[in-house]
Amino acid sequence: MRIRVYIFYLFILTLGVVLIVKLYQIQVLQGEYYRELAEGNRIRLFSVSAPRGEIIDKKGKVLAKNRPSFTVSVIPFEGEKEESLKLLSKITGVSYMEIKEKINEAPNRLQPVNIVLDVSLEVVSKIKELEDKLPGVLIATNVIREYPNRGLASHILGYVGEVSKEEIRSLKDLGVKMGDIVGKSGIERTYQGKLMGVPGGEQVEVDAMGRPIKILGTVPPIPGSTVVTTIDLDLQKVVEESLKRRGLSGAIVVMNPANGDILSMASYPDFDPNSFAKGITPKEWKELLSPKKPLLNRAISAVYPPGSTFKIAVSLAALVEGIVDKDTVFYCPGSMMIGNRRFKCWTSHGRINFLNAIARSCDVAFYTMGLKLGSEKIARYARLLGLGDLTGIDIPGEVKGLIPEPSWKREPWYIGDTANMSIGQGYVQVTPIQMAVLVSTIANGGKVYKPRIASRIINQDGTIETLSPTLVRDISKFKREIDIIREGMELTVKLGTGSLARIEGITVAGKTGTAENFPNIENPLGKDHAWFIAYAPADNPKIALSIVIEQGGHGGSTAAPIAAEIISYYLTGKKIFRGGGWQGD
Amino acid sequence: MAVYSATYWKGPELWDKQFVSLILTIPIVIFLRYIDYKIWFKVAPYFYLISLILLGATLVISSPIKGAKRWLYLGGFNFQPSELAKLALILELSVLICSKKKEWNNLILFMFCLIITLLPFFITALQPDLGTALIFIFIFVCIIFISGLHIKYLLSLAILGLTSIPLAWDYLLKDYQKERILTFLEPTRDPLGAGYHIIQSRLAIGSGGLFGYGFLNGPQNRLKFIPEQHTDFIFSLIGEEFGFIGAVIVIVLFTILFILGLYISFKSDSESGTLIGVGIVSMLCIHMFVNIGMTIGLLPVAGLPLPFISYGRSSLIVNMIGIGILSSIGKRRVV
Repeated sequence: MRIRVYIFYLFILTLGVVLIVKLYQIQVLQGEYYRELAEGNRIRLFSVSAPRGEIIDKKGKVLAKNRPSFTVSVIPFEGEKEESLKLLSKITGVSYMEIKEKINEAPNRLQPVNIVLDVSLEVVSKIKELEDKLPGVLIATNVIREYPNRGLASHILGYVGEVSKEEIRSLKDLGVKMGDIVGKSGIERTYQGKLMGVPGGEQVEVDAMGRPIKILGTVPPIPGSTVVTTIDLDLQKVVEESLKRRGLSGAIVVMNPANGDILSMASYPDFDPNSFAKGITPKEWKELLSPKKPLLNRAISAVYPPGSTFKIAVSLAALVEGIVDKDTVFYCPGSMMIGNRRFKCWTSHGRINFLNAIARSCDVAFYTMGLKLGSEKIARYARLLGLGDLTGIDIPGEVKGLIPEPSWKREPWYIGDTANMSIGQGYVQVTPIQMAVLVSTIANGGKVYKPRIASRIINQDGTIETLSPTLVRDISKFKREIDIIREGMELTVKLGTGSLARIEGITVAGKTGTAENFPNIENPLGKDHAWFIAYAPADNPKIALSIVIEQGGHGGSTAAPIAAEIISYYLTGKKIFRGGGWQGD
Repeated sequence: MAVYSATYWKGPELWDKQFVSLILTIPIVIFLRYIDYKIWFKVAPYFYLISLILLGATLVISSPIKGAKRWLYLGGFNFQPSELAKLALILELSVLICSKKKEWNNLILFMFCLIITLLPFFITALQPDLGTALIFIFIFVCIIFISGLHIKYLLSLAILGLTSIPLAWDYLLKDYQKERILTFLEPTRDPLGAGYHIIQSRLAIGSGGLFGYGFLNGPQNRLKFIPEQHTDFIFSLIGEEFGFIGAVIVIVLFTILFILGLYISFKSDSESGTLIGVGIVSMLCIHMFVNIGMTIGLLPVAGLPLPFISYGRSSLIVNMIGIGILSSIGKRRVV
């Protein structure tokens, strides 16, 4: 019996010793390790994102800014009760099922899950009021991007959104992390590095729920720089209204021929970049993916056959190569046999000189010139004027288009291909921005500028980085030939196909184009695209523009009136409205 | 008395209530000390029956707290009948063994004792509260061991118990209990779920180091990283704030208390006194060991409070009654 008593004493002692040994192991031997772990457990580094820089127009009017916004989120671990979620659903208008789903999908039960972004102040105050009945419901204040002019200049500005896995690779050097808001297109994308600023950090002591208890240290963020653009907001409004009124897809680029500054750039249909900042609804997203492609910036990302506007390039080639001169006379019977095919002109011009061949857009005259030049020479001068290559504009998404050559075409190059090329048809494809560069080059006498939208960066410390205009190429050695073309373009508006661009008191120079299309899905009837390129005043150009209206028919009747409206407003401040009418190709 | 009063640690938030309970229970201890513990012999069977009925009642009428039906709402506060049942079992077993040892066959006595142990065991296991249920078995084993009944009964019971473990795993254990055991074997398998308790608790104790962060300064505790910090996981707080030295002092004090308890039990003037004393000591001792073992990752998580220290009034009152009885036994010892 005594032995059992001793065993029992020993048993009790053993239990105590076992506990003490284990404690010695974790507290004394591994104490340091656990202490470090524990510190990591309760001190967290929160990144404080810097307010994004503003984007302003050339006169300082705001194009993109920030505004405070409230986000409602729920910590699943604390706020899972059905009745409180139902109450939250009633306040925010988000369905109970949707809230429940978001909470169930949360990867971490202790991290807040966003329920609604950008709620009204009314919702915020209601939640604050009923705080006791809404455990685990948090309201976070953050800033969201706001575009006060809504859809205006949307393609220039672009939009912002959460960084994607693909983007993060290229943006890593800028210090962009998962979850950050970055520019997705337009200026927002190109100048992401300037606009984003430098994020700050907060060293925060947190409890088990991840709720901040106190801030241990702060590094304030440096707000992003302001990007000053060359855009003229008032002009942009006129340009967009003028385009929108036609009700057709299209693009307009307005440039300052003296330096390549983009004064306006419009693409229709457009979109409201605010919807991305707020969190886009499925309905909105569906609209953006519609066949009309509102997200597409037609000014730089869409290609069209240039039609007769390409005759400017052919003219330069023919003049410089000495094939024609100002007074060269052609005879246009209304068509021309090339190879074994009859190539038509849009009318019978009869006897017509070179200047009038431009002004009245005689195809037969240009077939003649083109065949004498050959496709390679046409291509060379077209490239000198900036066609078939990226213009280098400072927003992403630009495409090259195509200036075809026999070497490009896999099948044999026919003489008919050269004929088509002479009038800007066939394989030739250009973007509206390229045509704007082309017409600017003619307007300024031979300087090919890189188009630009941002002109200055104003940093937070007050320093200013000036982005100077870039001269890509100087072909002023062809000044004489260019002057002849300018004469032809003045004549176009004065008495030729571009007469609907005429404005009282201002000499406008331009060239119409009617791009023929084969029927396709987007254009089942194969309707023509209407082109017009122009500059004004003719003797001292201040504005150059290129306009394309998809399926708009004749350039002279649909696109030229738009040019008149824009030029009139820009040079005289007078808003005019001009309808269309048959003026010939 | 001073021994455990000193070890008493205030529950961080609810310590007012707890302190009041402690003060209120001291007269009970003193009262019990001065009444003859032999009075329990007469009331033991009734006490046992009442506690069994209360225990059964939890299954039927109580509202579950955290999925378990352990509490009864009695006279203003939630009461845990399983705590009372432990004491009732100790008394009933001791009294039964002493009074029937000479009359009954050893095997019959053993089987009878086993049955009165298994009744509360199963009811508690159904609550479900396997940790507390196993306490009944432990108390039974200790009392039988000291009572001098032949060791072969205990051995055969142990063999039976071990062979039934796979069966119990499949049919008796709830999913959360299996999860706890699996998690104990590998805490990182679910760091924010079942393993969270173990990891956070070990983290808190480990970071306490040799001297601890100091009273009320344990960051893990203050920031609520430790779950159930005032009840089951109170020891992780002690480890964090008072370090290894503080933790060892607590364990040493407990051990001294147990040794003293055993000493006075063996010196008791009756065998029933010895058995009751051993039963009370083993009850306290196993609570302490399982509770501390759990917080330092030695044992799986089981909802057992740390005697006298954890917040929980049912447990405190029962433990204090136990101390009172023990002290009454001590007063009537053979010198």
